[in-house]
Amino acid sequence: MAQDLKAENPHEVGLPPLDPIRAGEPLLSVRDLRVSFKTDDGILKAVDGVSYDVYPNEVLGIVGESGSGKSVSSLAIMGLLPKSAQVTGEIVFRGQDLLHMDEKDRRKLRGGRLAMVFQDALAALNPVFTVGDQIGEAIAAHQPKMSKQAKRKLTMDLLDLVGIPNPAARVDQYPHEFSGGMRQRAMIAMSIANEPDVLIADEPTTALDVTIQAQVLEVLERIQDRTNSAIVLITHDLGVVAGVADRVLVMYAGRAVETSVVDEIFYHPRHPYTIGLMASLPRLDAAGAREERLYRIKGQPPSLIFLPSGCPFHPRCEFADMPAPCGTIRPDLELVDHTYGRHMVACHRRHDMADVDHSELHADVGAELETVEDAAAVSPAEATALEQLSTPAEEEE
Amino acid sequence: MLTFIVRRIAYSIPVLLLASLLVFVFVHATSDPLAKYAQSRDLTLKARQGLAQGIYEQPCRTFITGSPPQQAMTCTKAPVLKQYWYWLSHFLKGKMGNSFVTGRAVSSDLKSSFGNTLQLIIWGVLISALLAISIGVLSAVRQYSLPDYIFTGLSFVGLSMPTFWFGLIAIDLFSNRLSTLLHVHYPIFYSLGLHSTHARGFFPAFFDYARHLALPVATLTVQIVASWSRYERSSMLDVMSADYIRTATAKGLTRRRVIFRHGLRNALIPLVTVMALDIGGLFGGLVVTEQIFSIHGMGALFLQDLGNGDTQALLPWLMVTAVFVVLFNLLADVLYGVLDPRIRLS
Repeated sequence: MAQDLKAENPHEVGLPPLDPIRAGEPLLSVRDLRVSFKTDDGILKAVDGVSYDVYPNEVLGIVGESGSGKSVSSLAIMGLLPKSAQVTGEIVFRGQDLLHMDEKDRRKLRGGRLAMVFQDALAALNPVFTVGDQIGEAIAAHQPKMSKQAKRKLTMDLLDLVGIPNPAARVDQYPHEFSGGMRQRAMIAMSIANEPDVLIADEPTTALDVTIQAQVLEVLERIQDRTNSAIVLITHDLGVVAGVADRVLVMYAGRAVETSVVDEIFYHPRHPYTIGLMASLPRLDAAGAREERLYRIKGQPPSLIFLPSGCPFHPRCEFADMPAPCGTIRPDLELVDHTYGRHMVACHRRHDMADVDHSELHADVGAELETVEDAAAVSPAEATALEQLSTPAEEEE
Repeated sequence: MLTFIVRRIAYSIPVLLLASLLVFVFVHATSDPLAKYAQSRDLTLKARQGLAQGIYEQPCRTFITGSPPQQAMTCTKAPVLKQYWYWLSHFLKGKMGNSFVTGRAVSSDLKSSFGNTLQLIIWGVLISALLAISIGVLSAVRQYSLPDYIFTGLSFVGLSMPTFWFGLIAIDLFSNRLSTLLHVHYPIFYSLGLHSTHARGFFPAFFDYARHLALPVATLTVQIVASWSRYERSSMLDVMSADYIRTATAKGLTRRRVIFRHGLRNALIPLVTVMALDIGGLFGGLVVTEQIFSIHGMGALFLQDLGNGDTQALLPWLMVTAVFVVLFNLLADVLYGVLDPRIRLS
């Protein structure tokens, strides 16, 4: 059993990258970020104390299910949350505290040094302007002195860079004339127009076919090689994470529950939630895979307004020590292993979990599927509030 | 785009033909003033001959009857469809005949009335559009703020207030009481017609024109702005919560640019369609406003013709207003295509 290696500084939870000398100082440091919304039922804690670092040249994958706070935390970094959101904590980007910056300076960062790629490029591109117009606008916002010709040339270069054939013709087309994969590439071209230091990609491949997904991810990697930017890849697709990410942060109920380098997460997961996620992946190599039902994590994601006591995962956890400590004390991230880079887990039973082989977990075949009533763990007010997170303006009553 | 417009124009031709048939058949089914007017002593012979043409099978026989002797006619009516064809073929050539009642050319009455209504519509629509867009955008961008509540309240007042009531109150306040208050013996804003005879020179005439137009245009504007600003508000709210607005913000654009370039441009698409449809309806829809402010517009002409049972004048009126409704429908479609590339290019 590995000895409990306490982090020297309780706030220093961001992992150094694989090669600290090449990486240097973190570009982006998030410390104890909390985002909450007032709803009719109470305060909804969408992000509940997340800390991580992003280093140059790396891809940080943030995984978690819907409502785990992965998108909300990135919107908080970009400053794109609606005014109703309460944001506390610290977001330091290249030495500047974003949360205490005036709006004008923050706007200059947006789309410049700090850019974001959104999910569903059809909705995220304005239907009434041409693709070239929208990319050119992103350039002009940060390089206002660039001439029209230079802007157009750069726009076409960007389209070429993301692998859009015949950019000279495509630049004057509208988003609806592009295919799904091309739209997403145009979206990426727009976000890298000003060579950002950190590119946040929020589910960039979710709406795409698998083959197109691979192409878009390849574009992201190519761009990273060229520009030395860091990419924060937010996804619920573990396959995407395994293929692209250097490090992984697993989020659950608004908090980080596990973080390490990508291989550690996939081969030696320590948190029961991560273990469950890995066990629920279909595997080609597993013996008798066709006969067995896939493993599933029982229950529903918890309500973010009425979080379970103690560890928020305990009602769904097969390994929980009940009633204490799992039902009473919320675990913090603790260092468990140093072999390949720091591996941190927020679990009371982190040391016992090292012995659990997730490929041995099987579906409890006899278990009844949850009835529809059970599925309503998320209250209607909460659902509305969560929906609003995806939109910058408040909806009409 | 051009084929779209041509095709759309082609579609409106059968619509107008059907409208003309319905208008003719219904007008003739509900009233038969012919018999009455054919015998009328007030009619000049010329008018009577014009009237007789196309409605009757044969040229009418005139004879002298009664004591003291006077002229009279007997005629046999042609079938309705034959009358319709005669009327339509002349109408298409611009020949609308003479009024049964006044004997004047229908087209000249129609022309002058149309001009007056058009002035109301142009000023009313211009002012309404500017106000409605500004109010709508402001209300949407500052949703649930004090200005939003105030404009929301005002628009409900505007929507629920009957035109005749608002018009009369406006006359009482701004034409009568305001003069009393200022101790002047002339009305600050006129409540009759569109011009005074005494205004000479460009600027005095324009100033006089503005004083005449102010109240009727305000009456018209209040109704239109109320509904258009609500429409623009909800359309803008819809647009401002779209993903592409968030993208625009994420690009580092200023708030103003996000609202006006990305937001308003999209929010205008449905509003422009509604505006075009509404304007088409205004040509025959200002009956009350024109009546209150004694403006000889299309609405006033309609009431007059209807009261007289003057089918010869009513038919072209109905057709002209129908043409404008269809025309603005067409315009709405074309504008939609112009503003939205997804329609234009498909």
